[in-house]
Amino acid sequence: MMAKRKMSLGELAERVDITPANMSILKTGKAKAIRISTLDAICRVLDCQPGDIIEYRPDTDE
Amino acid sequence: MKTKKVILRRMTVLYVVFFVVIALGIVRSFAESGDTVHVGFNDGWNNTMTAPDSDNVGFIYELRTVRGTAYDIPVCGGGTDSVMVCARPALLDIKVEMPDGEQTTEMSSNTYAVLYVVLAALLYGSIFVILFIVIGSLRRSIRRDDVFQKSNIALTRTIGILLIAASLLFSLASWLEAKAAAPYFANGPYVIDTSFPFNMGEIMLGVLIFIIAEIFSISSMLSEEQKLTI
Repeated sequence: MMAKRKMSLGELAERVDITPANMSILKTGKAKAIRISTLDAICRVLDCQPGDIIEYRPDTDE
Repeated sequence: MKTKKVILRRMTVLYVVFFVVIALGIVRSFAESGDTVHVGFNDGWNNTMTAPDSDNVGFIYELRTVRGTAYDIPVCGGGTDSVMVCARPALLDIKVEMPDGEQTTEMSSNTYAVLYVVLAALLYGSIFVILFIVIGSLRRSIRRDDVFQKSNIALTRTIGILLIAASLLFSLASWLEAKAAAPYFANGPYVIDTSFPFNMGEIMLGVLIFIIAEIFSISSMLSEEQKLTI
């Protein structure tokens, strides 16, 4: 989605108003949870639906 | 942040109080009127110093669990004309002297007891050192806003293990002493309790410290989850 919008990680972080480090945690899938307000801001900036940026992957441990 | 300052101040007070209590405890133990090191080591030392050339070998037993059959020791000045006060000893320090060469069984039993006491004392010492480290580490981590560190959890668990181990070792030493001294009371009015003297208070404290470590561990997990919530 970022590539489609031709947006860098730093720029997205700045527009969503979170730190680049936290945006990197989100991008690499290390985040434990995401606030609705953060999801709302990302969808607003990228002009997309939550389903476009998050997907379900079964846990490898289970 | 006001709350952080208050917590830091509390931790500093705790740190200082901990140090003062330990210092006072050590001074009291070694003092002439002290009850720990004085009775065990000072009496033995004084005994050796007063009769250095004696052929006899002396043993001092501190028996903490003695059962008398009756209140049969009159207490002088303990009452008025119409009131009589008698005592039944529950703690007894006895001194056994015997000629050199006749003390083989006493020697081996006492050697183990002394070894266990020294080991337990070392464990208690390490508990105090670790407590200093934990409190210091907590103070530092409060400043860094990172209280629930994995190292703090491990150190708290170690305190629990050491406390229980030290308590059991002290009990073992007391039990060995009681077993060694029991034959001297075989036909007397006093009975030495030779059952294993568990120190339930300290064991409970050790378990409580384990519970605190588990709470720390859960808090650490929650804190990590909170940190990784974007």
